[in-house]
Amino acid sequence: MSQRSISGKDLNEAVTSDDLLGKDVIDADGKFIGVAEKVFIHPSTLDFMGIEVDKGFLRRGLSIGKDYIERIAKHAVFLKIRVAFEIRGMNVFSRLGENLGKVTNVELIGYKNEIKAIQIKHEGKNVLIPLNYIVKIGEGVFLNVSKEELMDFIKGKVVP
Amino acid sequence: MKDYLLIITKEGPVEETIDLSNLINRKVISAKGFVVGKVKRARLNSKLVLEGVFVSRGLFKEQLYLGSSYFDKLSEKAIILKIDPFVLLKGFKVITNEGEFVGKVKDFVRKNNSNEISGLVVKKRFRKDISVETSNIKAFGSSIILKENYNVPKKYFWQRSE
Repeated sequence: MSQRSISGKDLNEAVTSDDLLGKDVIDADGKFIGVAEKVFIHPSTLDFMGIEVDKGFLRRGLSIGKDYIERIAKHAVFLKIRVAFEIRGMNVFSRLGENLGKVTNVELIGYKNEIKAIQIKHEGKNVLIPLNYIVKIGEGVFLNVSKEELMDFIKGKVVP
Repeated sequence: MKDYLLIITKEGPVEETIDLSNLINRKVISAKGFVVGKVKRARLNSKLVLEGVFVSRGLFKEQLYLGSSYFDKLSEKAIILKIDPFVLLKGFKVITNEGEFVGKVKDFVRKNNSNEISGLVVKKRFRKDISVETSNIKAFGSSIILKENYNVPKKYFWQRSE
């Protein structure tokens, strides 16, 4: 049976929370991020603000603002961005290809998806590497310094 | 380094050269940062220029021979490639533009001996393999996203092939 509507708009094009929740969330690189589990709505403007993503058992959830959402498709929610937190666990390589360790933490600028610095575990020590040392991030992180140059830099930059 | 007597003409300083024996067992890293494998052998041509390297990818995996034109950086620590060799796509998820899971990459259709491929063979459980031409692929990333207008054929394994 068709429903009656007093919305003042044609809602046939709209997506409902049922359509969104439980869908896979996929980033700009095609990586599965998690499953949409909450929708955030502003209490006074009633605007859609974003979604919360369940990343699985024992993993902290992630809130994603609507500006980072590209589209809500039939089977998934696609993001415009690669989620910065997803570089955790990636290998970090020097400019010569030496493996320097793995990313253990990511510092962002405010609540934005912009990296300020990354923390890596290098020879048992946590080292903070600022963004200007990073050349490229793919499935690994490439730095613009060699291992020796990094060693010079990290003297006094070791995170306790 | 041991002392040595230099007998050279136009060649550059020995310090700026690479000892190929040090390259053996060094990692080969793809453009995106995947560790492709380890260098097993290096091959020179008759003009004594490095032509390529054999890369071991581990047990039960076929070795690769990578031409030096695909090298971005060569050092005694590692080789960084300009490309992501297509073999790394094996096992990647293939999804439609709507986010529906189509299957995983099982095999490739190659154009020639280069890193270019013309298609993928995609496998899903209880489904027949499907071939997807690269012209139907929207994006290669952590998974492969198909173009919007591509209709995925759904063939179950009990269905006869036409």
